[in-house]
Amino acid sequence: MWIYEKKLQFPVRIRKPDLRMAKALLAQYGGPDSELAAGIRYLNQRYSMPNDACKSILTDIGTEEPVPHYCRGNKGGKTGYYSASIPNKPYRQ
Amino acid sequence: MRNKQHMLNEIRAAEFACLELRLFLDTHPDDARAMEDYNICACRLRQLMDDYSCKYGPLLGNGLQPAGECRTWAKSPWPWEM
Repeated sequence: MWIYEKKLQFPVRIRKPDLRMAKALLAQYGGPDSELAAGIRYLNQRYSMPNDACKSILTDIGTEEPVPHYCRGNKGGKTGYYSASIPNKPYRQ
Repeated sequence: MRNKQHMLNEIRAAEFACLELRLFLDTHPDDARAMEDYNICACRLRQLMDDYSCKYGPLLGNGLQPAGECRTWAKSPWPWEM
């Protein structure tokens, strides 16, 4: 049901990896109140919604929730540095 | 390279407009003006993505865009590597 595009919704470049900030963002990244967890909840709640508007909006926002997840996790963002798969050199403008 | 980023930013802007209008239309499905705006943005987005993929290769790997000439999907840079 989902597809991905090989581009980011918002351009962010890592200038300086920051492991401490990445650690601080860990709960937001994958914790119980993270966008990821919220997204999954929305996608489950949509099945018990009483009308089309609610079903539709929960499907849409449940799809959008993981977007910051990819931005932060894969790219590290401007402040965070999380994934081990990121090359260990800072990106240059 | 600047042009590539410029084109990507135009795509991002059009896509953002589409997404927001989509969310609005979820709860206002009978709003004719929003629907019209959505269609205009969707048209523009499609045109922008076609232009981009012709020049720099596909953004979608699910068969909606041709694969391009020399680069394969797996070998072209990931967005955070560009």
